[in-house]
Amino acid sequence: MEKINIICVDDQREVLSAVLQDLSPLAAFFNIEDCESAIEALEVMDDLDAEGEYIALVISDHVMPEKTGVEFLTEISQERRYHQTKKILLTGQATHQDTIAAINRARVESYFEKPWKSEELLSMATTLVTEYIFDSGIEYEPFQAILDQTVVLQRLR
Amino acid sequence: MEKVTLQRLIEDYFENPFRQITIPAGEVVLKQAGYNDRLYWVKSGELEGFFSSTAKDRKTKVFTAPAGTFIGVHSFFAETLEASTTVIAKENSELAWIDTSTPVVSPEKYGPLTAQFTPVIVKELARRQRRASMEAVEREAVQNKLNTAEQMTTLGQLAAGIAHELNNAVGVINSKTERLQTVVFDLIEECHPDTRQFLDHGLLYGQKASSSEVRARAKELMKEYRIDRDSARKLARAVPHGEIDRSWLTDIEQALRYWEIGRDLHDMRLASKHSVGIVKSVKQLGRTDTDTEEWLDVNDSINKALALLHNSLRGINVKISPAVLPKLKASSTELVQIWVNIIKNASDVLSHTSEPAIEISTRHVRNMVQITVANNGPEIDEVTRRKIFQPNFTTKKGGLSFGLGLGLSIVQRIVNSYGGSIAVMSNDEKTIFRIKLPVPAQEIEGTDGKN
Amino acid sequence: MRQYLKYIIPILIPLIVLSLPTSFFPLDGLTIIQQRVIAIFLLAALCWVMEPIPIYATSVVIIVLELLLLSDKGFILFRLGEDQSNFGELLKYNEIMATFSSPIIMLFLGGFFLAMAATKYRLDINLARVLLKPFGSEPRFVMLGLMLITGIFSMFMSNTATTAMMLSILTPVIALFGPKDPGKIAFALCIPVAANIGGIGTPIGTPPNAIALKYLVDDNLITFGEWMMFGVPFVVVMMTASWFLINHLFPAKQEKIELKIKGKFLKTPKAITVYITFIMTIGLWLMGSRHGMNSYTVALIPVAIFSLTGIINKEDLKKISWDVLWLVSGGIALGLALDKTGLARLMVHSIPFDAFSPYVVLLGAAMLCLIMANFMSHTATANLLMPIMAALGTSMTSLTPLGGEITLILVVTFAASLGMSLPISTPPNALAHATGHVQTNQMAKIGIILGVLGVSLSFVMVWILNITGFIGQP
Repeated sequence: MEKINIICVDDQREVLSAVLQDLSPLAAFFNIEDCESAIEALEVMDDLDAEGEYIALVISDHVMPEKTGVEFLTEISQERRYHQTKKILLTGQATHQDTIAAINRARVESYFEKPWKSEELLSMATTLVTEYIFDSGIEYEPFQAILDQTVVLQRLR
Repeated sequence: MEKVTLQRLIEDYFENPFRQITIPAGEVVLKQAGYNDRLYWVKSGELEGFFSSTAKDRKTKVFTAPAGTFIGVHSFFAETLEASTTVIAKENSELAWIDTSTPVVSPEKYGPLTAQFTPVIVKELARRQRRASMEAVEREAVQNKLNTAEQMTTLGQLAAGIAHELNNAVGVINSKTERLQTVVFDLIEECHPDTRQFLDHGLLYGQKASSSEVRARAKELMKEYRIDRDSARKLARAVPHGEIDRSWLTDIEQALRYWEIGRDLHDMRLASKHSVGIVKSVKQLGRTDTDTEEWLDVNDSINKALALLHNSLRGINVKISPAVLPKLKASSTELVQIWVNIIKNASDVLSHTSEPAIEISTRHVRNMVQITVANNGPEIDEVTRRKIFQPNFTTKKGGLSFGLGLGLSIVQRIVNSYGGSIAVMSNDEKTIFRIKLPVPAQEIEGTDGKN
Repeated sequence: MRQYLKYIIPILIPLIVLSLPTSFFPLDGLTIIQQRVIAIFLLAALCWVMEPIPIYATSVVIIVLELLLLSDKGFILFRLGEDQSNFGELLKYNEIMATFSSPIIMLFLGGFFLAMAATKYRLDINLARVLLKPFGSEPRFVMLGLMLITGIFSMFMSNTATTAMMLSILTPVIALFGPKDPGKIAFALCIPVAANIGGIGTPIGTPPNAIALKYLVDDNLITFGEWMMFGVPFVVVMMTASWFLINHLFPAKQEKIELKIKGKFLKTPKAITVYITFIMTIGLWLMGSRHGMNSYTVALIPVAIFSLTGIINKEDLKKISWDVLWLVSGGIALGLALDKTGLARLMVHSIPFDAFSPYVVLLGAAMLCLIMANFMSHTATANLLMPIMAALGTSMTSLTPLGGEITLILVVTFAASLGMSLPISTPPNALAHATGHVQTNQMAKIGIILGVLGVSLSFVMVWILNITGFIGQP
């Protein structure tokens, strides 16, 4: 069974723990890493990648010190190692310009506004991880119980 | 030369005792549009001129004529013989006059009457012109002030309105969180009394460790206690330092679950408290009522502010040097708000500074308590420094914390309301905010007495 | 009408050939079966040149037509005159089908597995990162480094995949060049050139080599290691020549360029398995047959290792370039038909090649191959020419002093890889042209010079091989 990771980034610890809690149903199958800054996230991703693990999904806040979420996600999307990685921007304070940049440059797959609905976030995360598994050619069977069945059926056709 | 001319005119024309009158304060000398064939010279006292555009209109003061000035210049020399303003004596005054029948003194030497009085006419015209200009300038300044005040009132009212609405919602969240907490505790006390300690731990401390600390500690815990990555990570969040008590390890799943409940309650309480604080400071913009004032020590209020800001001050070296201070009569909330705003700003600007530091010191200088908050962040340029206390001025983009541009204007308002002052100084090494608050007289005596 | 010609001609001409009586052909003793082979050969040639259908589809069509028309289990109507004297011998159906899994295909499959595992565990990009470091930041030397790495990789990976990887590394660097800087052209051009040349270095470097290997059996056997012994020096000389040429024609004005490749070598057990297997396989290949295994057997070892460890899972299996394998199979089937029906020998005997000077034959064959390779797929070129060349080589006694069959085959094989003057010549060229930095005429200039130079060099090479006694001495 391949090791698949989900990275959550938010500079506010309370928000981060809320995201982790929302995603906890996925924790049985995937490793969920929490990071308090984009820099930290990049280091963690680098390490995980060097261990041969997969980065399926990155969920990031936008307004963070040092490096904003959009800058961070843009960097990921241009990085060859993470070109299959799915991205969610989770923010309450992105301006119109930021949002455009997030879609055009960072190529985010999904955009959530704070406050978010936990079921929605969970189901989006599940869908994106499922797509990642198929996109990167990982065997899906070990994870089948948790995956988004609609996507599985679509991809198996 | 001119003075000599004026002197001669007064000697020649206004020394005649038959052409002198004394008028009591309040008496009307000239009536607007009334008949006047005299040119008056104010010998002593003061008079005021009024003008009304229509009969019903309120009279507007247009000039004052102190001793040494002329009245009726216009009606006399324009030969309209009709007064342009109503002139009323402000105080008891002595006036000397000439009229159209007054003989001209030595016209062969000085020319006709009008020629002799030309300097007076010109001088009077210039005086009136200058007065009109100055009044226009003044009027505009007043108007601007009024406009700004009006804007601020509207904004304040708007903010207060929103704050009021929010206050209700936040209030509900706040009280229900407290209640829920009690209920959860009671329930757990009944069903799983043994897990109470984990819940307490979570509630008391919340999650203190940063994600990178957790990651490092989880690795150690995994090795040391042979637990899986997920539990190790959670355990590292719960117990970031020191030995792990054996009670955690007996049923680690359950212990962590209860710790999480406790931590969530802690976070909820913190978040609602945070919201209450924001609402309160917004309300202050439009507020008229103040908190009850009490005798308090400024140092205490600073410590309270630091406690509130604990989270944003991570990684910043905060040094406090408090002096023994006399007590002030003030509202604790308001003082805390001052410090929170200033210290929060300081911590925000330090985000790109290496070795960030904030120094806070208090001093008792004569009848003032002086508080300085210094940070080693980037210099505030002069343009910014001038605008820094203006409402709606902000350097924060995106609005991470407040960003409403109200923080320092609120601070200034509060400081001013205590009769104090606030000033900012900045160079490339340091930025200093200095607040002075006056100590009431009896308090100085009081402390002296104690000492 | 014009756009339909490419469909009509490949169907019409073979049909005409089929409908003519055997006596019409100027070949004595032509059988019906041999006549059908001529038709299939013409169909294949026309389809590969005009490409009315994808080239791998042509291969499948060849195999199926052979099964229907030439095999002992073919359609009953096509076997009606079996007992007639001029009917000829039917081929065995299982021999035709076996072309799908001939040892050459297995060798390629092994190569694919190695390349795929290397890409998946980033051995390729990490090696590129490490190997590029010593070349500094001066454009000329960076280019040399890039070319060497591209060359080395394309010896073991497909030329297309290597080019794609290297161009993706280069794209951000090329963007930094000034708008009029010829360095742009140089960098975009050096990659496909190096990939095409590098492919010559090993039997699995490019399909034409493998097809050639198919005809180098028995006395003419060349092992993996032996191929590399002359292939690699040839690559090195060609690479140096092309480096000088590109630098001379398109000197970069930029003074400094920096390639940024992020990442670390993976150190997981699976990644280490990949590294070890890679080194081991190449080692076994280089040792020749000293260990008793030939290169085909060795090729299946990584297939087994990567499958059992899950390094290549079934999703990855779907990504194998089956089209390349089928394309080669079709060529092998075509060769099989030409050989087994005796058509190749018949044709070669009918033309008095012995009357020609062997040099003319060699040069003519190489030039024909080079021209064909420039306008069509290298593999298809090799598919068509190799069976004929093999037959020609064996029958031409005048070639023997020059090394015989093997000389002819090697010269033609090398020529097949050197066709790179047009964007349509090879997929690597098409990729480089698609970057927009290289014009067709610039590519043609380099391609023609290098093609002619390469062919001449291959003559020098076989001459050296011959006088050193490597080939030609039974």
